[in-house]
Amino acid sequence: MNNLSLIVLLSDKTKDFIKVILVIFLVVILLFALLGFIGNLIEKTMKHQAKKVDVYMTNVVISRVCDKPEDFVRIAKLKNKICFYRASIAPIIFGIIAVVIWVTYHLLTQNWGESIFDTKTGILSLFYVFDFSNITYVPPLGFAGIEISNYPHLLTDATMTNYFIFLFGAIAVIWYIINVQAYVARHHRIGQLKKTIYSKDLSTIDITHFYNLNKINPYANEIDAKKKVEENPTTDIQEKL
Amino acid sequence: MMALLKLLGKGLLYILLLPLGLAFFILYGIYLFIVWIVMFFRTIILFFRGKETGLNLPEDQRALELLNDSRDFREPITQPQPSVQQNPGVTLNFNLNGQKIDERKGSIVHSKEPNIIDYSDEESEGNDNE
Repeated sequence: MNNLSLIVLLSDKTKDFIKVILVIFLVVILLFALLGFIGNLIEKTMKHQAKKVDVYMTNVVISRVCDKPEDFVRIAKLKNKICFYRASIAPIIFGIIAVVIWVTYHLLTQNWGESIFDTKTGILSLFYVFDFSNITYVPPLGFAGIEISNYPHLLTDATMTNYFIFLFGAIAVIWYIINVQAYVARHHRIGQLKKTIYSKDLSTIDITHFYNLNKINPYANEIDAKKKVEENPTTDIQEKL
Repeated sequence: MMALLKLLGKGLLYILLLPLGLAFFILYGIYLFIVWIVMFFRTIILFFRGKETGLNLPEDQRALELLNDSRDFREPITQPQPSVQQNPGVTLNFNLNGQKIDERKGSIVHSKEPNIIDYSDEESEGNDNE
């Protein structure tokens, strides 16, 4: 009851302020959660990508062809570069195609200032574009004056070349970024394996396995001598003689 | 609850490290593009020299030789006998390499893929004749 009466007693301005603070807090929490989730996904993907090092280095390691960390790192890094090179051939070809189309288009139109992201002639013609120049704040959580400056429409003239430039360029960039991520993941894995494969870790070793118990037993020599006599009594007599 | 807090903490950390990570990633991307160009010319040179351009390095070939030499095909790979009596039927004795037990047939050839040890009968005919 007390809490309810407190809320009733608050002025409208204070209530609006609390609402804004709550909404901002909620948005920030959601943003953190979203970024944390995306980060976790990227981590898992990188772990999966890094497993390739284990695949291409297993034979070399178990056959002891590389028995030093330096050799392991040298071979693994070279293979990592080869993997990256082979995986990046396709995105780089896509990128070259995008550049060739872009240069050819601009050579023909002679309009070098035209952006592929233009709202009239570029890729943004396919999306809603909002004009925020006359925006006004309406308490507590409203905004006014937002105008739509572009409605989605498909270009049908020569400017639609920008779609293809964007398409090839976007594929190239995204693919290349994934390859760079995979390279970084493998590089990190090489560093991890270098430490674990050739580590001299005594923490898992029980030293008592290596004890010669005869050395510890103070009566070991007497017991050994008795055993010898029991096993070969004749040789003992000969030795005494 | 702890998992959610951990997730939120990670999100905060990623927001703080995002500019640094992006800068690192862009620089790494540029460096790797230079690496790609170098590897491109290296591959061309190796190709015209008639050498292997893929992942199959000389070390891999050496490793395969060592691994193949260390395998003994004369002894079958023993597997634990199942305690339950099986239904009568035709029994085929093959070891894990797909060869009949007590019979050396074929030899190992190098695979193009370094992670696979390949077994084939193509070269074995020549070796058997010897």
